[in-house]
Amino acid sequence: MKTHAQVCVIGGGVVGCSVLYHLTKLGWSDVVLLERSELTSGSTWHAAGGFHTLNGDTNMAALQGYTIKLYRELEALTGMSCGLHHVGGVTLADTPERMDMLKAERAKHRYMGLETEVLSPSEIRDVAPVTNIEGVLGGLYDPLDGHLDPAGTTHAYAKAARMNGAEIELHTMVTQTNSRSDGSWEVVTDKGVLIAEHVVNAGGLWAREVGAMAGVYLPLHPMEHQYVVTDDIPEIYERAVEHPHVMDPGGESYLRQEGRGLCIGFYEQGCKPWAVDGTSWDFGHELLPDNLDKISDSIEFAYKRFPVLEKAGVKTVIHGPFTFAPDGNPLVGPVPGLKNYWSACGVMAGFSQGGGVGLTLAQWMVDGEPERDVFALDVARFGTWTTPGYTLPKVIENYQNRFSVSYPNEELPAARPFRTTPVYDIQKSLGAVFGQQFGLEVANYFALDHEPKYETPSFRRSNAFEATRREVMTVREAVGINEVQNFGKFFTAW
Amino acid sequence: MAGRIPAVGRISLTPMLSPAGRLIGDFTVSSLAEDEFQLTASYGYQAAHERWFRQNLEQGVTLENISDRRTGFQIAGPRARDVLSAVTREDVSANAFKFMDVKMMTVGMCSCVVQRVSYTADLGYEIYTDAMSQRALWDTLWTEGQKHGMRPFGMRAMMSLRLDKFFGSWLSEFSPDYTAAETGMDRFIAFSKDVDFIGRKAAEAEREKGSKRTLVVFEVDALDADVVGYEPVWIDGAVKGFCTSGGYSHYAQKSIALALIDAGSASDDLQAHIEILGEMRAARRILEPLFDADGARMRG
Repeated sequence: MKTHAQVCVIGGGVVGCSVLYHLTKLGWSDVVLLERSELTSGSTWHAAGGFHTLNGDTNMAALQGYTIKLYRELEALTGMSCGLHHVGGVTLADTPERMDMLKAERAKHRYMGLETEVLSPSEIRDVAPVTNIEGVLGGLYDPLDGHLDPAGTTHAYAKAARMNGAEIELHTMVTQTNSRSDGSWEVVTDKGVLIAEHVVNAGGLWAREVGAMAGVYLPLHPMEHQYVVTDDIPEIYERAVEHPHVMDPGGESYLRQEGRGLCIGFYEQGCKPWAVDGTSWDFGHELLPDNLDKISDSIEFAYKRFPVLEKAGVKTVIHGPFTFAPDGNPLVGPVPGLKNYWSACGVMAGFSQGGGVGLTLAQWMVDGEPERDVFALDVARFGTWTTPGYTLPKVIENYQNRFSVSYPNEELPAARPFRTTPVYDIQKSLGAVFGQQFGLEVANYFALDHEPKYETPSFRRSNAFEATRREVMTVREAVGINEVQNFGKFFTAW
Repeated sequence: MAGRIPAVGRISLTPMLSPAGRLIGDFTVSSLAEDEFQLTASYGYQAAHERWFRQNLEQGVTLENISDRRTGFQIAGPRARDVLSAVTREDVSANAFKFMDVKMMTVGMCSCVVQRVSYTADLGYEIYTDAMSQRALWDTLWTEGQKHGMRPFGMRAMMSLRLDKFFGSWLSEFSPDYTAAETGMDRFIAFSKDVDFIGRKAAEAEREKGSKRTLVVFEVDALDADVVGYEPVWIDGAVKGFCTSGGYSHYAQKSIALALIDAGSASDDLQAHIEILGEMRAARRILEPLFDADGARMRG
């Protein structure tokens, strides 16, 4: 093992390997990855391996598009197979609000170079025939959707990195990361000590434990997740082309072809957090026992939406943990309070986002700044207020809402109210309807006594319209008062 | 900071640039005393800003994040001065307390830093005190305010009021996706100052070359949905840009959109379509603010 390196990446899942590759892509070759077991251990190896470009945040969607297009590049570079299945995917809409959201997303794609298409119910039935289109209003088709082989892809990133001079040490466990006075890091392992100018925490399931070695808490939490692989299904294996992915938000499921059958995974309401008090170092390349009770409602719904499932046998159940940040987006970037310590974790969609995460972090490290606004995945969008006690309920909410429509005006309720100012209750008594910013409750508008104290999430003008009008006119005609807590303020002097 | 640093007792607006010239901050700088400043920006971005500051801090400069230690209220509207003058002995008449002045004064019992600036585009004052005094400050302002028709307003109203003067907002119009020149923030860059501020070279290069995109404002023929962000702008049958933000101006009763479009398409009389929720809504460019076009209210 090297004794000195410019960068030490801790963690050999798809994210760590992508970071390592992208550092070399941008010209840094004195980089090493330390993995305590085998590459893909943790969450990567048991991922369902799906990828798509749909994301409410435009920059995240662009990074997802980059990730997907990267796979062919990796295959060409390394001669390895990522096991790519570019089969396309359709997201169903069973409510008008979902249809609104899909139309808005499709419109955004016009200037992002993404060729998605709104489909009618009969077009959905033609392209994805296992779907029962009863109650479906339409859908959004994305030709870039697909799936891959998680292990093959991770090894392709690793090989590409090695080809550019990176080194990977397996069966090497990091036990300490100590900052040094010159800003570099002493990385202590069971195979020796490495001095690295920079450390990247790509610890995945163990990112909290790795972070603790540097004295920081990274706000992420593992959740249990299951998907089911069926036996052969004639309606599938008799097709001339592979069946596309189908995302059924109403059923909180994602479905795709797997071999000669189907694979379906669920983001069930009755979900369970995993390793609440920390991830054990004893946990390795393993799964959790099946728990079909948890997803029984979801399965019942899936039988209605995809009737072939009901008569298909179950080949395997994959039940494993992976990590989420409170808002479901990755935690990437320089960790505040530390020097030369970088986060690349909380990536729940490793195969939609892993490439984009690696590129973003490498640009940040090598070029000094990413090429786009990456606040949606910046680790500094959270702060010291983002405690484990806040993170857990928010991650559970995010998992449960994975397939919910996300509205521009919605204020998710979990872990709230948290941080409040001394006049919170006064505002409340005046009818304040609050939102949250950086953990802080902020008054969005003031409802009158007879009006609901809750703003209906909507893409259109909401029930706050009249209250907002009243407040605007009070300002223009008399005088309004508004709390200024929600400004970032700094004092500087010399 | 790429902009002018104000003299004692004054406030300035300044963009903060990355080395490549991207907008990484949109600050209000207030000079409280010689070599003492309060910087104000986005609450949600404070950790990212503090990280950048500390990475670039020079020897001898002190920096404190006082976001939760200082709090307070803004009061805005034609009666705002009447309210303020009744609760402080400081002379806050129009000529004594000018637009973009900052003063320390006692308001009721509270020691406050008061900035005459408001994102509502109206006559307004931001009144800051320490967190433990906030309730007392509320009591003072609210009690006096009742004589003048004072009511509370929230962020939804704030975001509607700002549309009247086309004020951009952080992470919508002003974000690292855009440069100062693309979004009009370049008018706040002090090119004449003898400081090699971060991003100077990139900003100078852009000033010379010009930018390919520019921010424009549309009045939209909306139905029941206003622009939120990222809706495409269609000009002559092709997508030539996208909306950065929008909303409904309740004051002017118009649906408004701010959009970044190809500079070549930005004629004064531009007619376009904005695709909102799958529907093409007609939009025409507007140049005149919807309120207080001569600034008499905000600056008077």
